[in-house]
Amino acid sequence: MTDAVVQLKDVTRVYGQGNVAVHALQEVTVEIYRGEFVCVVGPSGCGKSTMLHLIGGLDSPTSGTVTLEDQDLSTYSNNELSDLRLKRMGFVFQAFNLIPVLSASENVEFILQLQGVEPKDRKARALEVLDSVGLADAANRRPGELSGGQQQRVAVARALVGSPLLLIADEPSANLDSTTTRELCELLQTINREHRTTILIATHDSVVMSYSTRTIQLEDGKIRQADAA
Amino acid sequence: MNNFKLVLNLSLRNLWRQRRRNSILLVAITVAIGGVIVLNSLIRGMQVQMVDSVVENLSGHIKMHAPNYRDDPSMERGFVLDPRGVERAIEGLPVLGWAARISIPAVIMSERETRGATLIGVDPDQEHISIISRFELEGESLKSASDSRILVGRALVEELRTKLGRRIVITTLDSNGMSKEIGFRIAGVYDAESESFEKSLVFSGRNALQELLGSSKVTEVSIRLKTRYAQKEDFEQVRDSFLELDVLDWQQANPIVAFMYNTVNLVIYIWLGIVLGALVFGLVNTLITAVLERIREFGLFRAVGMRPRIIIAQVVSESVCLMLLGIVFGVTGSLLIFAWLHNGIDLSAFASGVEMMGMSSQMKPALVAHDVLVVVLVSVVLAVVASFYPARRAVRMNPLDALRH
Ligand SMILES: Nc1ncnc2c1ncn2[C@@H]1O[C@H](COP(=O)(O)OP(=O)(O)OP(=O)(O)O)[C@@H](O)[C@H]1O
Ligand SMILES: [Mg+2]
Repeated sequence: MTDAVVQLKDVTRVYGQGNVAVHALQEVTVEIYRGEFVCVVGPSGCGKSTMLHLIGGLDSPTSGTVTLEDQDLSTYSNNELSDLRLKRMGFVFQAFNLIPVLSASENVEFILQLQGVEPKDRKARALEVLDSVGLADAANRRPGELSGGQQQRVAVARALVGSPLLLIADEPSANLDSTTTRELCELLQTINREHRTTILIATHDSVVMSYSTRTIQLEDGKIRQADAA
Repeated sequence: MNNFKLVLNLSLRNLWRQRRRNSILLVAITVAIGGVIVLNSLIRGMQVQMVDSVVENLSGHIKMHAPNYRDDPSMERGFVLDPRGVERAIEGLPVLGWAARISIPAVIMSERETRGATLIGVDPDQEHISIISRFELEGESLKSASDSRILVGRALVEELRTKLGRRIVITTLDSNGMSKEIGFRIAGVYDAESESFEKSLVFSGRNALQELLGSSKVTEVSIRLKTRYAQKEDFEQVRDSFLELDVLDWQQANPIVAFMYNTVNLVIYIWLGIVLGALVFGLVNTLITAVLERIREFGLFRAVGMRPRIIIAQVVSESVCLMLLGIVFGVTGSLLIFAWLHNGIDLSAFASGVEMMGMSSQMKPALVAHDVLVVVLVSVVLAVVASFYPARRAVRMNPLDALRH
């Protein structure tokens, strides 16, 4: 029994075969603990997204094990992985995050709906979370009527609404200006501190890094150094 | 339940998002379903008319002959009527009435022309069950079974170039197979809906005819029920009471009409299959487009933990919702058309062709609830089936690949 929320042990992920094989991750071993705010950094193509996807159960390693709260993800069925993502994790993706036909609040609420929360509770909860990302006014707008930053904040609200154990965000600030980025990071930091939600962010952005408690540096699919901030 | 609401909500909004494309499909579904129902009701109307007119035109629901009568209808092949036997046989059945008749081929001569026809001896008191009591008549009807005058159809009177009140001579065979000539006075000239009926049937009193032909036999008994169709058990009750006679239901008594009737049943389903089959292609096509343009959304849903079967449910529900809408419009439309055509369509322009099939020149649609139900159920089932392949495509892709799409 360890305190680690996430554990990667000798994880290798190879895309393709033979000459064209790409070693996106090579023998990576790393642990992430409860309440940490971790940034995964490194040049483009170093394997940041790959690592996040493996931890999120969206991809499986070529070799090695990924465990979440001491459970080996490879032992989960597809439906169990779905449920795990639904109930224990929150995701913010780099590009496409919101369902166009749903309003901002509905984009947040549907997670609760899938979790089986009662209608009246989930409405209130969705609005509360939207309010906490500063978007209470935009609750009824569709994604197409929101700016990039607003969309990203809705995505964060969506990721947070189910009170996840782990929040995974892949370059959440890619489309944001530095002021908006700061606001987003402050928000994440508050959540991290108040709820002890573990946060894992892949980023190039030094602003984001400055909020982290630890950074993991990747280079060519290997860890360069993993040090406490 | 939660998921059901979410799925329905997403389906309806996505249908609305592509409202142009979907309304085109909706129109197609509406027209197809409405068209099928309207056409079915016309076909059913034809069927009902066929049966009604066969039953009304002397066949009744159940008919009895001597065993060999139908091969060679003649007085020789008659039987002695046992009225009490008939009453016993129909006891407990919903019988409107029954009639015993003589029906034999005859040659009819006026001063100018000669025609072949069937001479029918009837008891007017029994004929409230058939068209004979409802003729539009010029002149008089037969007074009783002993009335020895004759009723002739308008068309035949014209062909014979005779008229009301004149005499005609009929040659037929008596019960010994001997040729016999009998003179009749024309008591009335009747108008029937079909010309062929008018040309082929003449009526006289049954008892009078028996006396003239020196026989106490009849050639048929016709039983009419209060219902449109005879129940199998009712028919069997009568059949089992007259083992020595040929007891026929309307289908056996009118094999050609019965064949058309049954063919029509088949036609209805073939037609249904073709139209709805074509619809399925349109539906599959639209659904595939809808799935492919939303592949990233499905990827996102799955990445955040939606189970594949909820994704599948979305596609199926989209298909079913569209179909249900089409059904509502189609059925409503067809009911409106039905109400509008309710009083019948005048087909007198094609009267002769129509009459051949034993129908009148008025075509009345008949809405059969069972047919509508079949159309509705089959459409819904097809909507589900049509969504299977597109739904599979929506979940086949790994969520990450779908997100990157
Ligand atoms: N589905 C895939 N098929 C083949 N190769 C892939 C696939 N996904 C990633 N790769 C390769 O694996 C390597 C690591 O990719 P990854 O997306 O993890 O990088 P990254 O650090 O997230 O980069 P970026 O900062 O540009 O997002 C890259 O060389 C990439 O080309
Ligand atoms: Mg990446």
